[in-house]
Amino acid sequence: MSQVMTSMSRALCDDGVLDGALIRLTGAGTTVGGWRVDLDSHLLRWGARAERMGASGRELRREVEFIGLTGRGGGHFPVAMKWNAALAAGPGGQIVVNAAEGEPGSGKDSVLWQVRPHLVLDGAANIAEVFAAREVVIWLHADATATRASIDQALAERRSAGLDDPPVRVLLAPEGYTSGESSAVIAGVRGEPVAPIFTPDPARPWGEGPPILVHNTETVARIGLLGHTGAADYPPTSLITIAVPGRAARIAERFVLEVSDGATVESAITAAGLPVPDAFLLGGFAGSWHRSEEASRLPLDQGLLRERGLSLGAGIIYCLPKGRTVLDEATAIAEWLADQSAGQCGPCVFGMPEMVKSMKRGRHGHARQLALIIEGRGGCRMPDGAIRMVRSAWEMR
Amino acid sequence: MTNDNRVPRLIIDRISCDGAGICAHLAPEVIELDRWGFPVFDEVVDDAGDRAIEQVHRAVKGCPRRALHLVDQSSSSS
Repeated sequence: MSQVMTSMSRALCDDGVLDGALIRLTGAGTTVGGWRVDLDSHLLRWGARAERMGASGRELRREVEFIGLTGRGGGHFPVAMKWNAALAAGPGGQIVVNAAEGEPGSGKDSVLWQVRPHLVLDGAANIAEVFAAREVVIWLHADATATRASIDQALAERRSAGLDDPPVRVLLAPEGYTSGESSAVIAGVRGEPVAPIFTPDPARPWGEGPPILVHNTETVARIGLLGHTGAADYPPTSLITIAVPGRAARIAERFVLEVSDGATVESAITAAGLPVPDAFLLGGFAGSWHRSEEASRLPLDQGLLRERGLSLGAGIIYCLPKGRTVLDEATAIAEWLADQSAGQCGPCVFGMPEMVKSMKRGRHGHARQLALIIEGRGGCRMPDGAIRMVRSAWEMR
Repeated sequence: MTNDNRVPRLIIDRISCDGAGICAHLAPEVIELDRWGFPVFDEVVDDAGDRAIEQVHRAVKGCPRRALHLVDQSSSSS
């Protein structure tokens, strides 16, 4: 429990999903710090998964709406709205827990699976009940071995305890940024090639038939927690990953912690024991750059950030490494993103590399014009996110 | 992002589009091509005039990838 004591800061909260732990992720994605709550400890603390949800999960649906839960994969779309569309598509669907953190700076979902797997699995079972789903699918990158080991262990623990769970299947995703994009996940669950697909109706991205409902891991863990606490005692917290990059937009270290009301960028970085960098990228690779001297007090609260036209995204604070300029780093990230293109849409396939080439040559005026042509014209939102990020760097100069 | 219902909209499946460019020939008043040969157009075709709408219908039919769709309802954003 020493982490709790050493990081007694306003940023850390001890009543959420991580119990105040500060957790470091190694380069290979294994957690250091925190403690894994196995099924016995989980049941001791929370009891069995609640039977308080009422017929067809109506109570849970009301509570999800009441607490205003939004998707933590980065989009912050209201879960209650997503559920309404999916409920209309009838029973027998699939609930997908997206554990494929395509963005190198994100680590919170790996952490959740490694230290609080039963909160996630309770959440998945709750959602499966709401939708009378036929199975739960856990979508996971093939190289996430520590995360996978914890999932396998948790599923074995639940089987031997005879918990009333829906069938759960682990499905391994190919590497890459776009393989965690929700329409690509739907394609993968269907057994099709894993790449973003055309979704003419965003409310029903799976198309016809029973829903394939994709939720980020943290969103599902929060629904697991909500099932235990009820709306009145639900802690409105957020998981934050602080990413410390090494060279060429590669991540050297990640720290995951949980924050509540009043936390700022600065208090979270300090709570992680890190120095406040000159600048940071808020929200991750699709987020926005800010100088610490102006923006270190920005609140880590999606509602308050949205009022300023900003977003917490997937909860990532990416620290600018010493000796690098924001523009260098934005260019390196844009290059990495361009390279992650699924190669399907012309404006992304041709536009992104050309924009990056201009940036590398210092021709930022030309790059800005290209950004205008590319924007809004990808099949998925990756190019738009990249453009939002580089634009924030341009606006800082 | 608008909430106008029943406004005809030209939407494109970017993933299927391979930049053949036929649409821009069939609907020159509505569709142009970007520097890489991929179509650029205004989604709302309601106020484009009868001749333009006729062109849009031809482009939708003529796309070899079936990537263009004229839809009636608004495509609500998520």
